[in-house]
Amino acid sequence: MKNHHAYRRLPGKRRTLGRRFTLWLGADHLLSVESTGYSEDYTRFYLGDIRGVLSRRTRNGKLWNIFLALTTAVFALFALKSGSQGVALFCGIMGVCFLCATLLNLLWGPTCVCHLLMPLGIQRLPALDREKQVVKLRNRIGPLVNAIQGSVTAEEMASALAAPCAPPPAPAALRGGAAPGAPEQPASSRYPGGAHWVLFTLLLVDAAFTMVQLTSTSRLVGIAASVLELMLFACTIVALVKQRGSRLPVSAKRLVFGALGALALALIAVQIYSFCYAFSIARSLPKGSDLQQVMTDINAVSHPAVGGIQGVYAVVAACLGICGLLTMRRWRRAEAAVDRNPEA
Amino acid sequence: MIASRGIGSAAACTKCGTPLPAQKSGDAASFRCAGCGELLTLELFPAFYRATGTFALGEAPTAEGEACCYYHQQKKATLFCSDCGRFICSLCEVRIGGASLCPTCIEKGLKEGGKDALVTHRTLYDSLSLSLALLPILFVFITVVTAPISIYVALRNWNSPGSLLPRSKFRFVCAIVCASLQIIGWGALLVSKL
Repeated sequence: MKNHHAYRRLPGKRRTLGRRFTLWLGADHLLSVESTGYSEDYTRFYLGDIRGVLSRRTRNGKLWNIFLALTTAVFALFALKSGSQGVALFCGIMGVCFLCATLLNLLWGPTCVCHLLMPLGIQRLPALDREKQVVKLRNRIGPLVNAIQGSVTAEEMASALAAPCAPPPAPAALRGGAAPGAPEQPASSRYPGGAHWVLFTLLLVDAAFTMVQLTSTSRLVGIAASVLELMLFACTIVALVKQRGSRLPVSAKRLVFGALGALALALIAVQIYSFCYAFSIARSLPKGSDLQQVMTDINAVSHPAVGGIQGVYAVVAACLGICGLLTMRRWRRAEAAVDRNPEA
Repeated sequence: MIASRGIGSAAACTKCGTPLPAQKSGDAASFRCAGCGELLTLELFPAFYRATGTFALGEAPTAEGEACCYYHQQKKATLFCSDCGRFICSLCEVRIGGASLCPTCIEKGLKEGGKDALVTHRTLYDSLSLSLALLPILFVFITVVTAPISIYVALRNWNSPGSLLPRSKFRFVCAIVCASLQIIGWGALLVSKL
């Protein structure tokens, strides 16, 4: 208990599905915390051992900006063009929400991945994903690290820069394996990616089905699409479980999260729209009418907003599916090459 | 003493692994990677330029009767473990959080979790207890079972080591209060039915 107040919060907080990463400053070390809500895992980086801070700008922020701005534009268009007041209200609220998200993303600045150069290799700081946070971190820990490590003389610097160095070990994300010093990977590390192949294929099929739904009111197509969505959810969960600790490329793992996000967002958006629409026409319905039936009858053909949501989802799902299949194909080829020639 | 710059002493692009150009300490420099063209920012600290990875092999005893290492009878003791007080040589010494520990104390600390500096995992019983008290409310009837469990978890782990981060007992208190109210509610319902 004595250590509880020894830690001070450092900038940077990142959330992934079911995980939260934060960074804390102790008396002589940085503490990287990975929390699930019910447990915490700690990694310490002693200030005396830190050799450098390295950050690499990523395109995630730009991609999010494009996606959020496009979605805002789509909702704004539907809000302006829609004849129904309920639809306009729903699309307006959604548009404002996405606009706020776009502005926030712009305000937070460019995204990056941050690594620390440690004596045993390069270690990632998962809590930091914005360049502004990395600058703040450098400003906070820089003086402390320099105070602990002392100043470096010109001779030391010159001799170190002239001396040949051992080739640096690639970070874990590059190798698709564990970080240096990490325990032996479990059996799942040999996961061949079956669930991911199925998931990305199902995404393509679902995209095609959703496109069909845009022009068809057939019950059969609706039922088939629902079954497909259930299968997709199940497959996504299996893929999420399987990919943990596996050697799959990071891009493939991210695509799974993307698929889950797209599925969930599309479902939630359609549900919210259905509720809004049902409540907006509830008063005008004759007595004895089944509101549940009204919500069930909402489809892409009769409701342009639903069509818009499903259209966006279909495009996103198709992109995710194609990118996923290409990534898996590339990864399988690379794995096969490594198996043929392990020394290479 | 064997000194080396150790592995990982050179900085490299975290995307393609291309070695990065050498630079002076103390300045954060932004540049594009020669391999992949990614924008990188690097700040180096004095440790980068120093010979690290110094491995002390321990010294042999110089005279008869001189203190020797508890784990290596042939080596001269140079210090003692901050935890158990055993004499240890420089080969056995591991410095953690300002203290010099012997291998046994490190192993013990990792197993028993008594030392905060060695802790790598903690279960948050307060969050668990609070979730057990709050989440089942959505399903109403389950609270008959979960409310007592929540109180049990809270009381059983009241003094268990919790998070290393600043955290109060607020969640435990909330869990106990909430679960107690649920039990009282069920009790009142039972009495009214009887």
